[in-house]
Amino acid sequence: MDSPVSREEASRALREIDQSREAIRRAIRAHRGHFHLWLWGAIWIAMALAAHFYGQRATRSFPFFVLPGVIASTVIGIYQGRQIRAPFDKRFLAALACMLVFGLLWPVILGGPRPPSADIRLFAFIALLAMQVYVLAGIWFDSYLLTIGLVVSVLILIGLFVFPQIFWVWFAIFCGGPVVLSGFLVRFWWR
Amino acid sequence: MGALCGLAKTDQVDFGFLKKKLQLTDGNLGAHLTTLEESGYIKVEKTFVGKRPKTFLAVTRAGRRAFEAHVAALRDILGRA
Repeated sequence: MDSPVSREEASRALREIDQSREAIRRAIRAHRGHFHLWLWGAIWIAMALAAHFYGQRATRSFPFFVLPGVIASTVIGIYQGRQIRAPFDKRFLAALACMLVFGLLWPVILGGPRPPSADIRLFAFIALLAMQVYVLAGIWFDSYLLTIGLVVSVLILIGLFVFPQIFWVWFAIFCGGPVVLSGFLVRFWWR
Repeated sequence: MGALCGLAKTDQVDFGFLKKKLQLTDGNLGAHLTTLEESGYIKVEKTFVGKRPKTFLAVTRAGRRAFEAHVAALRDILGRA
């Protein structure tokens, strides 16, 4: 049976499809994040060279590199998001925030002022790392994991910085204890 | 539809941006999009950016599949002796 569409019409239709596809592909390429890569690559180069040529004191100027970078990145993101955007994913943003907050804690825990001893710091770091996994799992799967992760993280930090002399006892009662209790709560009462 | 199928699966494109890139008028593009939306081939989301109304468009899975079938059919016509 003959097709109602002639070869010429099919050829023209395919040509038009290719043209429109190419037009949008060109436009999309302009939205694929290359501005951010150029910007942050240049900022890193500038920071590293400043530290190399001007020594340790140049590291104090790093916020003056990073802050304009953050502002420029935000402006680029807002501008591009008005044309082509990905759906807003709150969980992804929450996961990023979680990683950022815990990431900011690491230097304080591992390198902050004494007295907590190195073994206590290391133990707290590993326990908090586990709690970060709980928080991430809570964001993704079930809210009780999020609650446990956040509450126990705060309790670990209180034990580490407020009661370092009795850290182990504190950890046993106020960190291990709530985790065991949460197990009972989830097993017998959750939903 | 061909232009929209050039987007990544999760991307949404602004109506005004698409109109400019395809060099179409509001009425022309709007008519195409209404037909495609009624067929379930695209998803239209009306929103505000600041105080300005914006319309974002995304291709549905059915739309992508139908478009690929359409292109295959056109190629098939060309491929026949």
